[in-house]
Amino acid sequence: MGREAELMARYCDGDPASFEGLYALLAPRLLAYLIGIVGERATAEDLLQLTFLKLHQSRDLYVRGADPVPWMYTIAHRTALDELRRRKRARVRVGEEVPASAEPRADLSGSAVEAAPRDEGFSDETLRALQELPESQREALLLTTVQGRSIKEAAAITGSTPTAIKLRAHRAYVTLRKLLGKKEVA
Amino acid sequence: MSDDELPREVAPPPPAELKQRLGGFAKVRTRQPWLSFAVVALLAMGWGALSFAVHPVRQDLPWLPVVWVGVVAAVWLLAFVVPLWRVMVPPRGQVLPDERTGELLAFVAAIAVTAVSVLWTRDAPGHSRVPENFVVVAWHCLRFNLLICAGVAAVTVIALRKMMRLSSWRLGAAIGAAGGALGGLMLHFLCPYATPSHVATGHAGGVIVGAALGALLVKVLVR
Repeated sequence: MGREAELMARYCDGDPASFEGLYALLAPRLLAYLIGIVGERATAEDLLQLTFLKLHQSRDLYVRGADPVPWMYTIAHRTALDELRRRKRARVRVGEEVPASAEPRADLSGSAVEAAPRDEGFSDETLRALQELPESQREALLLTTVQGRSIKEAAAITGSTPTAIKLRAHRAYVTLRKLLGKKEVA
Repeated sequence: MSDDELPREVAPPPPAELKQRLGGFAKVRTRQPWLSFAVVALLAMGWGALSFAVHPVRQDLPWLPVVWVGVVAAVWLLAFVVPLWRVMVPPRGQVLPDERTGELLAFVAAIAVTAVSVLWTRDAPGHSRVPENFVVVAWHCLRFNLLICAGVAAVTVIALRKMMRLSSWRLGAAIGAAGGALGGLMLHFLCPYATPSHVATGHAGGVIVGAALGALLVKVLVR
């Protein structure tokens, strides 16, 4: 049983320390994925908390011995999609294009958050370029090339097919290279 | 790209507010997919079996070849059980169902029952009936089939309710096809009309319509 599966099993048995262990292990990866999808850290952090809350509420779905990581990515993915759809609906209601990053965000304590410095992760340029990609291509690229999920896992997480994932990831990579004007994407 | 090369964000520790929202860490009973599958399959078949209390068994059954009755029933049963199994039981080592395989199995089930209906229908001359009005009779059987399908879908969706939010139309298609196949199994023993065209449309048609409706409902309701 992998480390994540072990922690998940103990978490389901009621061990709070295992939840923290699982969070420490997976939150950085999930946060990176969510930042790539929604394009900004503050929203991604909120979505990360929501992802773990949904995980907590549905931990009785867990099958002992199974790898919980693809499942958590699926929860994060769907949570991010809900946010993107909510933004689209909000823009339609407002009637004008509002860049997502222009909206002030608050952290869970209620204070406004300024752009937080990152130790590692995407550069601002890469992040902006990612947001230029169609949503489906961005997901495919992030899950496969960036997050290291297999094609099959990425297809399962996004509800797509392996062929579609390969095609989207390839197109995203080509477009990103053009946008960034580099030979290799970091 | 190795794990060390993956871009990592420094995630803040779980905030106190999240821990508060989690509301405690009570032990939960984790899922046992095979048990859930068995319960859902039994409840679904119980629902289907209720139709025997309402409708008489087809009058030509005693005159039909036993082997044919058995083999075709087995085909319908497999078309019900196999997609349902794939929906309820995830692949080894996974939490979520393999929707892609579920969709494929639903497609294979639809092809199989349609092929059997068209190519291998048997009747008992003098005992089997021929539909007087093709459309009316086919619609009657299709409606019955969809009623059985709705019951199967309800039981399955209740069993998978927390998972539905993470599902795609493929899961809906597999559930709908399984439900339609159970309806077809019931009709195999109840419906006295034995022409290939009727069986293909009124019975096998339930698998296809069930799959299409299942896919559509999941796509619309789970957004």
